[in-house]
Amino acid sequence: MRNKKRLFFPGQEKGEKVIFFTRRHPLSFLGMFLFAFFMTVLPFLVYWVVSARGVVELDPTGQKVMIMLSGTYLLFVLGFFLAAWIDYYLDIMIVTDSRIVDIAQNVLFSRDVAEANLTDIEDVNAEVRGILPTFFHFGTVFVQTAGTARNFEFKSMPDPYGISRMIVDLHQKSLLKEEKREAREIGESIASRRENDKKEEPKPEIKKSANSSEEQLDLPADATRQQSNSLGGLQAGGPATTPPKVEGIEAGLGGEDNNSVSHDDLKKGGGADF
Amino acid sequence: MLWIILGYIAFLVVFFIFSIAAFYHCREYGYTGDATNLMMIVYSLISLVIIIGTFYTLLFF
Repeated sequence: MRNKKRLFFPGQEKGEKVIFFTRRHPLSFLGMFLFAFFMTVLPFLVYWVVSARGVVELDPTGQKVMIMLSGTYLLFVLGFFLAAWIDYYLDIMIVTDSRIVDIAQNVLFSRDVAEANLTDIEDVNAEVRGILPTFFHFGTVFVQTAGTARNFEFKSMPDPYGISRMIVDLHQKSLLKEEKREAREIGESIASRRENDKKEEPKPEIKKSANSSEEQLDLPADATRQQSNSLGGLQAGGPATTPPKVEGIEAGLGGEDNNSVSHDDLKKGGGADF
Repeated sequence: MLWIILGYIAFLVVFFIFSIAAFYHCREYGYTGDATNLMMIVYSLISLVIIIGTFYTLLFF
């Protein structure tokens, strides 16, 4: 009750969006309603028949006892009706963007709340059986989950085929979302590893000579060798020679890398195309 | 007669406790904008009509 203003249902997580919320079809309560109505009307019918025929004539004390018994009986039927209504009305099926929740109220003081992630759903079935369910489109939805998670059976759901289709769609969407999230995490880890590798590489330091304004690059030994190789033709003053070609370098580094993740990809929310 | 009235009052006490429990469920597990509030009002009205009607009939008829 305290969380009702902020949350749609007890146990709802922050940021969790309720997509679908339903309770049993009203016609599933019809039997209980008719039973309570019959039980209410029955004593009046009996009294009417008995008094009309003059079978039993009660003295004033007997009449008072009968009135009190009638009041007790009517209150009992009313309480029974309220308990049955709570049993019907607080049985709820909730589908959010991440999970499916089944809240089953068993009369009073017995409440069962079960939930499963949408990604754990393996199979969804809908069943419509009977005359009333066929004409008024309500039935049972079975949701089978993977692993140790329990299976769900939602009885008397309105439009069970639509509900099962919707659950399957949400299951597929959540699977795609999960794959995307995993790919993004892998992409981020690769990107962070590359950044760490870049940081570990020694940076060339620029020294200014004290005597002249010429700048001199202080490079590590390997880098100096590479530079001299690539600039060898120019240093010699001869015609420019093509740099030595190394097999595999162009294919591996110069070519397009399909599995790499750029910062643009990360900003878009996507990961590598694995 | 006195015992019957006392028995009826005892039943009313039990009925009152049951109603409190039922209302607790409606308030705790109901949802904003649903029919639990309406049901509680209707239930209370019908109960009051039955109880008052019973005592009124006992006392004045």
